[in-house]
Amino acid sequence: MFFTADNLHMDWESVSIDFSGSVDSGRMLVIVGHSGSGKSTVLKMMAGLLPPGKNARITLDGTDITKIPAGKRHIGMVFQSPALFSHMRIIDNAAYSLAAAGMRRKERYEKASEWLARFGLDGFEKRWPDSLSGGEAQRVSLVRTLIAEPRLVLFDEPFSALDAPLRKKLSEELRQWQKQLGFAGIVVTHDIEEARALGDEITVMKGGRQVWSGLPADFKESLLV
Amino acid sequence: MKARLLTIFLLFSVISVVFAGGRRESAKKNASNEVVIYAHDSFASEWGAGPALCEAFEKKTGIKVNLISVGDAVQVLSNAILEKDAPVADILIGLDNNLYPKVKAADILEAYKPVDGDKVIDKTLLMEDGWLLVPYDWSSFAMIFDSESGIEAPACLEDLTKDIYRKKIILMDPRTSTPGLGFAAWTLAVYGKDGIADYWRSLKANILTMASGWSTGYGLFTEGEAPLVISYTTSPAYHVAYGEGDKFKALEFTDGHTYQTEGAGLMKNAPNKDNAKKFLDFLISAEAQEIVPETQWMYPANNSVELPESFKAVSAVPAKVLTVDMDELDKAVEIILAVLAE
Amino acid sequence: MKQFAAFCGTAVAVLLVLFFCVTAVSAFAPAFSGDSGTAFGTSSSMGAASVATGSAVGSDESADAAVKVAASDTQKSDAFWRRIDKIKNILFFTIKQAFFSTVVALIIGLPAAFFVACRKFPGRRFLASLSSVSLCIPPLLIALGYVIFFGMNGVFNRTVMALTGAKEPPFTFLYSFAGIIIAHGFYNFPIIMRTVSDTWRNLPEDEYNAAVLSGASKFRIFRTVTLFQLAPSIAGGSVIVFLYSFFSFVIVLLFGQAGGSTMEVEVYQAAKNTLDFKYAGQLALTETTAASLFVVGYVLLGKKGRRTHAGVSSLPPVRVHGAAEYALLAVIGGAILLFLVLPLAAIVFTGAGELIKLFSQRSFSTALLNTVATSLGSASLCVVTAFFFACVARRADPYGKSVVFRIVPLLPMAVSSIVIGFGLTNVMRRFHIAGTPVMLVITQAALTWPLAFQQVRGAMERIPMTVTDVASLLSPSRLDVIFRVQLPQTRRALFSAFAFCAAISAGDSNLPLILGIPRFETLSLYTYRLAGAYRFAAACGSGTVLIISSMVLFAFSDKLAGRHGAETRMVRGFVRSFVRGGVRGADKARKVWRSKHMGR
Repeated sequence: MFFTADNLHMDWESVSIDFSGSVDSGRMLVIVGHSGSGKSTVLKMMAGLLPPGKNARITLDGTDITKIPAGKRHIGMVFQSPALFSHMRIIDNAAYSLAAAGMRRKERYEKASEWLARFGLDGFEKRWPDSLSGGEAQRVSLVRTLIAEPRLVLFDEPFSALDAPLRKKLSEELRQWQKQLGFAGIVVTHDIEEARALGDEITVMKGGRQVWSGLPADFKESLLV
Repeated sequence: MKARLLTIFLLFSVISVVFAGGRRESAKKNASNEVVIYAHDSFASEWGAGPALCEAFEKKTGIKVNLISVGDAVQVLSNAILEKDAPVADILIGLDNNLYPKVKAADILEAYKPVDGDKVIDKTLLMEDGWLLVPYDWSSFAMIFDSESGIEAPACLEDLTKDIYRKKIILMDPRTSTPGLGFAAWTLAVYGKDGIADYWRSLKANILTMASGWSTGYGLFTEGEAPLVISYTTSPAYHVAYGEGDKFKALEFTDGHTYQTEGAGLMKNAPNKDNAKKFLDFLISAEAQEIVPETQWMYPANNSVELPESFKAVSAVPAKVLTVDMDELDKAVEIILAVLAE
Repeated sequence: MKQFAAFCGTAVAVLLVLFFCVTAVSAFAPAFSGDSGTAFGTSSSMGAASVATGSAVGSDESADAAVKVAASDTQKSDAFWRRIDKIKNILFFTIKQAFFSTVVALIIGLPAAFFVACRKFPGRRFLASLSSVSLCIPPLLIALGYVIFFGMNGVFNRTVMALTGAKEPPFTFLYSFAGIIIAHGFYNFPIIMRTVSDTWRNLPEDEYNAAVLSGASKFRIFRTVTLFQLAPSIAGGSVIVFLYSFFSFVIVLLFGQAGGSTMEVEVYQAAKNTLDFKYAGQLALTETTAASLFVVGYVLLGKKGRRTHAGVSSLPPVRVHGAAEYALLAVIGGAILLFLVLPLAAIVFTGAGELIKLFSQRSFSTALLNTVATSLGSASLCVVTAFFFACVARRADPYGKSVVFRIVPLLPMAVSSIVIGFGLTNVMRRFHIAGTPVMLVITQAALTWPLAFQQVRGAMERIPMTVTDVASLLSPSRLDVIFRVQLPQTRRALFSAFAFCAAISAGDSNLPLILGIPRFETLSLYTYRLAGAYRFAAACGSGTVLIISSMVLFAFSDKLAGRHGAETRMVRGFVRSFVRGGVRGADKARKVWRSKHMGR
């Protein structure tokens, strides 16, 4: 398996969260559950934003990354809100990780423009985040994450703030981008349809624990109750 | 619509309540036998002479004293000027000889010679030989010296410019403090209009700081920041009186000293003029003047009053006393400030 | 009931602003009056001379005026331009020292804000409670504290001299420009620390995480993201520090070059010394205009940052980690210890011996009670007014786009206490108003509410617009939204603002002096009088009581306001409940939240 996360554990408020899972390159693991089931926390533990627990072990492409800090893991994450930097133009938002890597301005602007066009955001370079619609902003957020070409991308309810048709559209596009770019993906959602559409494998969380794992075809709504 | 009306009504009532509390002081009936005094803070505060004097007066005459503290002497004067058409105060206390030209120009006081005035008060204390202001205390300015500091005491203004006093002199800003102005006047009296620029030029390096007020400057001195500070000849008496020893000495300079006389003035249109006159009589009486030294830490104006022990120990009246033309003083301050800014 | 409260609140707010305007105008009015340069009418030779030489020359030259009445026009205009030049230099110096003081405050305040907002470490509470010190004690004591510790004969120098055997004190930095900006900067950094940490604590977690995962180093994130997010609060805090230093008087004169001057000194001189009211009015106008321009400037600087971080979740504070962080904490902590805590301690030690004597005096206890009453009173008025205007601003400019709404409420702070005193004197005398404790409370509140406004407005912006919108739709009246949503959610800021205003009010000795309220003393005035009567140790003791009271007040108000981070969790819960059940749902959610979290 390209990415494995074993024995992730956290005691949080009144709930204990335990998780183990894995996913291959080019494949999508979907974690489904109601709010408060601990799904976002699990993602953050994988990304390195939260401590994963004493006995946890996380590997990426064979390397043990449990102790490696978040910024150096080459893992991308897309949040529910676009979380764009509102004091920067779109082009700077998109090119942020390139700047952090030390790429020169001309080069990174070129690359960012290219990627923005790829995601249907041609001409958006000079605009400000405040002027974008929810869907557009979320796309920029995706560009910002994917431009660094991470090997694993985590999605924390990425489309739940958008309306239904847009959600469907972006879900489809997401599968395509994954095919194109070849990253391993883990998506967290509470939407059953989305889970079925996106996932190669689904795991259900309830009250901090995994209660079911399996293929989309076997996934039934009743599992969530 | 109703809401708006209600707001306006409430607003109006709140405003009127607030200002009603302070309305028309002058409208108060004269039926209550009283006298109203505007005094500066050092007189009116509980450590000044004010409270004790007023209590004694009330006991003696039954006239109630309304002592109002108004900040500093200039504030007293400007408050009185601003309400001269309908004065609230009968007496102004704290106006000194430096302020006298402005007092005269304001034309709001009436000269009054208290009973036995010319017997107990030296003519030298009178401002322009008149009784527009009734002197109640005075003191000369002097450098106070920390005799335990290990350096030699200066004997005259010129000595202060010596190198051994580098950064060892605390002065006050003449624009914002009376002793500061007193020192400036002192240099004017000794060196004249033409000589002060050079004097201050050579003094400059020795000045540690020019504090904004006496409190700050003298406070620094008592903390040992510097061994010399400009204050009053009567300052050491406080330390003796409160058991702090006599290491602080008022230096008598061979040049002589400038001085400050504080006086009380009777308002022209005072609402309680007779009571006010009685108070002024009381103010310079021996009974009242005995209270003055250990509260105001100045010499009493009444020359028949015996000085307390603390004064006798440390605060001899300087032999030579200097006067300065007040009009010239303003110009001199300008020159001094210009020199310091060089 | 709600209506009544709302109307009272409105009345108070409008009253305070009206009162302030009247007073400020009375300070400026003399500048434009046609009468003579001095205050004495025309019956004196001096007065006549002033009239002859005109306002341009003023009382500066009044001594020679009688002679110069026939002076040539060129001489007059020479003097005029010389005076303009002088004022220009003084203005530049005032700006310079205020600017660098602000820089010092920022250098210490920003890291301190970081540690207070984002990190847990021993002594954090103490650091946070330093917020009020500079405001609540008279500058005289601040100066004394520094002198006792860093002065020529200070603890520091004496120790070094004893150790090295030097004859002359080696550290004379206090009596220099460096001394001024250090004193100002260190005594005011807590303002920046508090303003900025309140915002920092509530910065959106997602944006920070996105930046982290993009591979940016911590410093890069700070430089390219966080700084911009903090810009409005940095600007807000800096304005206050700048103004405080701009109007500072005692410290500049004490530590600065002999004969130096600031705008405030010039106004003081004109208003209280030479009694040249017209010139005083002109100076007051100049000073206030300059200060206002800076208020405008700082607010515009902060414009680039995002205004609202509404309803987002933020990172909770964690333990200090990493060598760099420990090092920074040590350096900042050391600097604060050396340049703030120890001088303060010097005051406390000097005054400690007098405390028993002080407390045994009736007048002291009375002054203490008076101070408690007036400061709590004026703080209440401040907070009410600030809340009122924050609500108004929220309705009129919900997204914080309008610069006007950020600037105008701050303008009252551009008027210095001497200018207000000058105006107040004019108002009181002309309208025959006597000083009463109520006047004191109102005047103090009228001057201080902008500070409260800043904090409350910031908190109100953190309420998501959706919450307010839903509430408006579901509530019977607008007032419901205010009382059931906006008020509870800005609680923390209201408490904090309350403590700040109370501290400022307690430390003010200027207004009680001007108002001349018979038989009424506040602790600050009491301290001032002690110092004026040779009783310096006692003054330090009195100051100690002020320091301790305000630190206690701050700690207490922080506790009352709720636990750290409670604000955002509460907001998030609110949003969720609104989606499910409207205002009633939110009410219920609030009660449940309260019982769950407060009970623990």
